Amino acid sequence: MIPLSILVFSLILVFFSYIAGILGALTGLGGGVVVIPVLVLLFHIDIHLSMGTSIITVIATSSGSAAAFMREGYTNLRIGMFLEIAAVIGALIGALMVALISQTILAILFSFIMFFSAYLTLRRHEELEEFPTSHPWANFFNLNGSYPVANQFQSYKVQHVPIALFIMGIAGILSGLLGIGSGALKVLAMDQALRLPYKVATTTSNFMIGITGAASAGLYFAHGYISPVLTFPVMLGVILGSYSGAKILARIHNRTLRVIFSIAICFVGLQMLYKALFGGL
Amino acid sequence: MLISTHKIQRSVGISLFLGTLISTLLVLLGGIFFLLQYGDQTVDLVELSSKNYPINVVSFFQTFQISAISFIELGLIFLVATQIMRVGLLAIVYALRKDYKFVSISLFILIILLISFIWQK
Repeated sequence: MIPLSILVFSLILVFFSYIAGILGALTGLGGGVVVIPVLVLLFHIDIHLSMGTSIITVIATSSGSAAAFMREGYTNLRIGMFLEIAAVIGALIGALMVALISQTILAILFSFIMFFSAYLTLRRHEELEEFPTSHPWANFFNLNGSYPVANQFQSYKVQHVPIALFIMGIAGILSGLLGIGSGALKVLAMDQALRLPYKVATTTSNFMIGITGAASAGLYFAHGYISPVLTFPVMLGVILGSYSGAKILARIHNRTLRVIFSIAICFVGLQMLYKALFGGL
Repeated sequence: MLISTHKIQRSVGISLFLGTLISTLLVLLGGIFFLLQYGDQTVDLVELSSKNYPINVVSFFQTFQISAISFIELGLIFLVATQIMRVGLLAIVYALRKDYKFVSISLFILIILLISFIWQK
């Protein structure tokens, strides 16, 4: 590799992170899935350090958008906090386990997550039926809510709480294990299990990612996975990118972008898999 | 009741945003100073990639010295701390509203976050 100055290297990182941020904002697929492969495949950065960088950017970008969404009133704080019980326990477990698992296995697992994320991004979201009742746990913990529609609030009921908790636990473990946000999986749990309106699911997921990420990040600090030199350009680039991405979100044809993005994700996932199996990670 | 819920969401959202903003500015400041000092040196990817950077949050504050790197680290720590503070804030809010189920839930999450935050190898 040609010798680069630190300045140029940092600027290149900012550039790629900026793209990652835009893509993340447009597809909701978050920083981790783009940042980690960029660092590992393009710059041959150690996967642990890439994960550390990723978790920081995940917290930063989700916090930014979560703050905006909370203002609008879509986020269901109770559901978010309730499900976070499972997610932070999972994150703690994952972040403790990560030091014991070989980098090769992490990379393989990560590539499968990428394929899965591509699949989740392409799924259609049909209008969900109205449920007259809720799961008893939802009533006990007062999880039902309402969200703004036109000028009123539309109420909704909450279903299948135990399954959602289980999926959240898995999402947490993956977050701790791979340094990702697991936003797509969280949305899946809320959209499919709890049967929440999609906008409530995505905004509440955004709210939760920051907390799960913080649980993982604390341990990543201790493990030594968070490098200031790598993290500062990537974090700044992704934040700028997601801000830009959110601004142009309205004007972009979402569906086409998701298809392109999913194909790209699969391709990159294959590269990660290849590198893990043959490239000597 | 509905309105106050959304008001709470607003204020929690604002504090979250401010905390993230401050941490970003700290990281930016540290990053700029870092580049001013070391920007023209050649990057050693092998060295960069293989080092571990253990950051022990408690001793970070005990041995804090102003430098570009420590500013970046401060920003990063502050970013995570913002999330912890957010959960703590919610615990207080739920306590004020006498919603004790969610006070317990918030405190539980808070404890997990603090364990992770203070963890030492």
